[in-house]
Amino acid sequence: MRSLAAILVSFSLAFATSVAGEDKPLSIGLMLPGLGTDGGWNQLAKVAAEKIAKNTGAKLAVIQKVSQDKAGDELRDFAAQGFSLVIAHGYEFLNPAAEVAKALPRLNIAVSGADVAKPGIVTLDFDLSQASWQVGVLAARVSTKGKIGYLGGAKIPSVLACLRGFVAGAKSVNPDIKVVEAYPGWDQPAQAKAQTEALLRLGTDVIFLNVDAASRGVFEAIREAAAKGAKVWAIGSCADQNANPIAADRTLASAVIHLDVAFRRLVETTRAGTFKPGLVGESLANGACVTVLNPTLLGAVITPAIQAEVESVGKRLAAGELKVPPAE
Amino acid sequence: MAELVSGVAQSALTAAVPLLLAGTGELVAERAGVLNIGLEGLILAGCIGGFAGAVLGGTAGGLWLGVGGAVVAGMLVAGIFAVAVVYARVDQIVAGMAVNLLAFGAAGTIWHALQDAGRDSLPSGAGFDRIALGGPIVFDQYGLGWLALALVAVTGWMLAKTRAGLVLRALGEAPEACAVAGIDVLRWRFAAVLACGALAGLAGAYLSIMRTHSFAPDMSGGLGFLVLALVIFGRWRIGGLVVGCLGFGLIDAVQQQLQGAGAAGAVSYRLFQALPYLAALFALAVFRGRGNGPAQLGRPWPEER
Repeated sequence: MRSLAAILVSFSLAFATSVAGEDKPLSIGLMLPGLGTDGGWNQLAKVAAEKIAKNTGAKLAVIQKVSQDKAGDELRDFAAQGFSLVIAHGYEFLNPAAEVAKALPRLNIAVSGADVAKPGIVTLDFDLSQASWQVGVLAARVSTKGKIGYLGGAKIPSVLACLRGFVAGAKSVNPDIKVVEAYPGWDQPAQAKAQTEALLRLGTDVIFLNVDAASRGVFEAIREAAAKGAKVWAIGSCADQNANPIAADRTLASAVIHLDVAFRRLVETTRAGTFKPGLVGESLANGACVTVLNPTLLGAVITPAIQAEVESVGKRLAAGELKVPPAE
Repeated sequence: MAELVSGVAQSALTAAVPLLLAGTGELVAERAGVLNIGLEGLILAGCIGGFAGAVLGGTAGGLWLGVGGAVVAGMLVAGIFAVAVVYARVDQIVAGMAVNLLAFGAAGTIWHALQDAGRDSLPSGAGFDRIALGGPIVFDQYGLGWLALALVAVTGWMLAKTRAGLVLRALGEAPEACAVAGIDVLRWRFAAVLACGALAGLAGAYLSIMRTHSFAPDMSGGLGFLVLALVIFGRWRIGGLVVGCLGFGLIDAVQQQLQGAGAAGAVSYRLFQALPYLAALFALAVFRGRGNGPAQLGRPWPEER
């Protein structure tokens, strides 16, 4: 069995070599842990990869709902088919990717959403906490009640890092501001809506959300409250949610992960032959994780002074003058 | 403070409505002897059926098309289940699980098609909103909320006081006797399952086009399975079911309010999320054994063929 596997692997190596030698369009693989229509992490990656494939003329193959135990096989499969770059879009793919990278050094593998360097692969570490600091400043400036809220899908490290950034940013503007937090889960709009309503009842008037498909419920709660005259606002995350179809006129800004910026760099270095394994911090500094203010609210709601403050705080964060407090 | 209490009560009732709708449907099916564990799938079918109907119908009138679409979707999937278990005598547990898988697959496929066509949100300004009746905020509910309460009352009255109710109850206890009395057992059971599908579809419509104005592939979120437990908790009686649903809604609303009040930072939020389910399990364990379900629940009829 083992020898058979070895033969297969050597075949695939030979095949990969022959393909790489020709001047064919680049083939990119994208491996998703979930469905590409989840309105969050997976969809963001699929859209970004499709955009880059279109712009660079690369061939793209997307496989969805890959579990951790299947990841190694899928990566070998990509190599066997002559792909030059595979983006494994999830923390859980880190170890299988490192295993495969040892056996198949010709395949460029990037794992996105992880924070550990492994030999032979690129690790993309997306850090939204600095952008969260910026929206914290914004929330504190717009809030009239001195109470703002944070909704996360679950208490995982990346969600908590954003909370720390959000709190630090808000307190930097108004030390007395109260930040309440709650975790209604990632994907259930009805639960998220009920949780948002509970926060609004407590007098919260700006809510920063960090959930996937559940975001629709949060926006809906904001829309409903605003329709009754309440001055309440949402702030989105991950994708640019400023133009969401439910409450675009109540969405102040989004803390956005520009996966396309990071993915494009991978494609370019692969093409140029300069793909270099290691940990890449994707943050405010390199333009991958940024705050996007809602352009339709600039002026009256987000005054020029607030806009300037958010931008200058962003510059100081990117320069390292301001630092998000680390986890305790 | 009074406003906060009224608000929490409003949340509790809002959360209880889909449970009440689906629970009433399941109660009718189970009293007739059919255990429908495909309820989760029926609710999801209602979510997507309602959403698709409302989106395709466009503004104003599309929403009523949505409610209709949800009922049709629920009844369609329930009809497949009913043919399988009532006429083809397939094991009800197996068929129920199959219905769940079918509904998840179908809902996902329709959702992707809608997304690809750029129709994944309700037309702006459209959507059912809460109706303010004046008075305390607890009375501001969605139209379907009041309809749900009316349906529960009517079903309770129907089961207890009418001939149809008597027949339904008899179907679950002694279908043999029903057959002797000239009642078409299979057709009655088929109809009971269809009614269950219609009510579960309404529960789905409530979630998608009233409560959230959106759809998500995991929207039903285990609600159907919870309802199965609440029917048992209620000892297969409408009054018990209502108590269970309202109780669950209340615990859910209170845990959300506590999370917001600062408890989420101190205590694990998972404990809060688990709280309503823990309460349901606890209640099931404590009230177990006082009266049983319909004697023929889950058994095909006739027994031998």
